[in-house]
Amino acid sequence: MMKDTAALADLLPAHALGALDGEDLTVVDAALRVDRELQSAAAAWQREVEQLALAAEPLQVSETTRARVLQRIAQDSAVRTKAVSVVAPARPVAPDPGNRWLLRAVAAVLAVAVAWGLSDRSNMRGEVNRLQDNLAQVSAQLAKASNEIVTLKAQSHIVASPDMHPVVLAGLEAAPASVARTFISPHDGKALFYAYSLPAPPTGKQYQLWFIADGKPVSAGVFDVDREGNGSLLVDHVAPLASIQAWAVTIEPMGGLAAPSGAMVLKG
Amino acid sequence: MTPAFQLDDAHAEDILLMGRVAARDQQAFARLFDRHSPIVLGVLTRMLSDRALAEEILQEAFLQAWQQAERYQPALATPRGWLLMMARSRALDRMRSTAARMRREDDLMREAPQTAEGIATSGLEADERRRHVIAAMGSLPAEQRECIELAFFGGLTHTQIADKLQAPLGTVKSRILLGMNKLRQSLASYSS
Repeated sequence: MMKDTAALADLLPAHALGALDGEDLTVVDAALRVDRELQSAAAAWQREVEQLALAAEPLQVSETTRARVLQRIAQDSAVRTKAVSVVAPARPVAPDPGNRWLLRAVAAVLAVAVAWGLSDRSNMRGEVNRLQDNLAQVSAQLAKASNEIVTLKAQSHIVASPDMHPVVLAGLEAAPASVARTFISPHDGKALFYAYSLPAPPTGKQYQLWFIADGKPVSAGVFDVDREGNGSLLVDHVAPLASIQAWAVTIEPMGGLAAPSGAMVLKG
Repeated sequence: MTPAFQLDDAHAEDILLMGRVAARDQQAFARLFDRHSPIVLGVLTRMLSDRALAEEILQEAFLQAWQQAERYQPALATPRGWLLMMARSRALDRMRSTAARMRREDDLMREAPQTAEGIATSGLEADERRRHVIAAMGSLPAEQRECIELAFFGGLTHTQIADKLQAPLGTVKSRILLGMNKLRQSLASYSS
């Protein structure tokens, strides 16, 4: 039996609770498959129902259970690593307080050395050079950390997007053990791409990411891989989700091409 | 009206953790486990009335989360909601596969008054929010609260609740709808 929108909406709280059965459940499930507004309302009710969990008293999980769960996922990772070398993902990098302290300390020592006039210039010159090298090293580390923070902020914005859409790319014949994931934020047209266990590209070649929009390949950028074959890419301009049929990675000349020409290694 | 989707700091951190878990980051998984396992275990224990079984189901649910993290969609549920959904689903499967349902339901009903009166907080969840949820549940008419708890913690459907309470099906549906709408209002007033 058909139900109007209001009647369907009235069933959503019970649906979120898992209390629907029979015809009500069939009708609501069918409507949820096609009605985006209803999907949104159902998701909102799910969030209300989630809060009911707070009415139960929180209980600390036993150390045994915790250890068992973490051991199982470690085993699972080890098994996957044999087939697919999974890269440690980007982790939020906070500015290293140690680096800041070192930077200040080095600067202070330099200032003191200069103020004292360096009575024994021949002995002190080497020390000043060493400290200046340290200062340059720490400054470079800080610059790198700052860049990483900017990148991670952009990445987290994509991953935290409420409409984030994940796509898995599977390795093809040229790289059967490889895998990749693209996290798309349709809202701002950006995507985050991670590839794992790709073979090193031939000399003078580079991997290039593509999305196929309305039947045409569009370059999403080129990327390098580390010694374990892992690489990532932040894509700034992605076509509307509905127009994208597929994502792919090919091997192209260094710097990439406007249209794919080389072997396809990943597709999803 | 559908309430606006709010992304508070804790929720944002959870979503970031989910992204890292999808990329097979074991430390992120451990963090997610530590953040949410107490709430999940609390719900499972309330549902199953069996702490050991609840820990077993919790273990299965978190392993499922690890294996299916890339399928998580932030638009459909918070990470905690997603974890709870998997845990409850597994608990319901287990409950339906045993013949001890009546005993559990009786236990559940014996526990129910706690919700209205408030349960000691553990400090593991934001106490204020928890007190508010408990107060909101306690403010519902008893028959509405009973139906909601039988559905959420007891895993019963409309029809099963009607059978259990010897009440007309339409009445049970109305109680759940009215109760949930009141809860939404109460919880929204807290958020605002």
